[in-house]
Amino acid sequence: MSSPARDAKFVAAIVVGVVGAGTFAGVSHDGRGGAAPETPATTTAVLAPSTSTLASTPVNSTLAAEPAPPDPVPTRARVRSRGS
Amino acid sequence: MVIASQTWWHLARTAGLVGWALISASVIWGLLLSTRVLGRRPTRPWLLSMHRYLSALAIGATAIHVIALLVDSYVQFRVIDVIVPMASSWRPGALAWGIVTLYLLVIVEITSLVADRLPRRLWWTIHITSFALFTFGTIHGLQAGTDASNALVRIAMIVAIAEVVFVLGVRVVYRRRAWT
Repeated sequence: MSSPARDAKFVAAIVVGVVGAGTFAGVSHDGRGGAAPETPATTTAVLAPSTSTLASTPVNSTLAAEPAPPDPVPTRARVRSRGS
Repeated sequence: MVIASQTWWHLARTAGLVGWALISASVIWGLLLSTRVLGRRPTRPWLLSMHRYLSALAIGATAIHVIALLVDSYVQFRVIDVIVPMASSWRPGALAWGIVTLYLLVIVEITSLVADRLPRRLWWTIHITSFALFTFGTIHGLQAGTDASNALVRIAMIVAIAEVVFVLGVRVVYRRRAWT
């Protein structure tokens, strides 16, 4: 191998090392590593419980928990009584 | 500690980005070698030596990328996820681009190492798939890469694509002039 070629490879290795170190520092501190939807394991863990919860939640029980709407007949009766 | 627990994950992302950059550099170097647009300096053996060196570094970075993904416990990829396209449940299409890129990279590298024993035409046909390799790797980085939305990464990708297209254009023009 000629000396210029060896020097160029040495320089290339240094550049790759510096770029790699800089990139590692960048990806380590940008906060994306902790983003849950970006990882398959976390996505599975998040989807599974929420799906099972939805499937096991009866619709009627949710509606029953809400306050019952006011009876329209007494309301109309009140309006008539006020207007008369 | 969050950073320490994700070291392999960060290493996988870093190696992926560096590997893609080295593939880009190797493709550009190969095009410069075939066009001889730089004249006699640098010499052809020097360009060829650097082209091979960059390819070897790209293989190394890609190997680190894959191994780090397998070792990492944060993303939990299985071996089958990184060697069989569409086997992963997480972004199967995006990962498939990367797996095909990996296979092409290995094929191009191996055939280059035994180029002296292969028919020239066969070697050239396989070697020309480097453009597909670069394209698939770029798509993989854009679709699967966690850092694809990073401004610096996008700028680097735009610059690399522009350089490859420019040098490829120079090569086409050079070839036409050589034939006429």
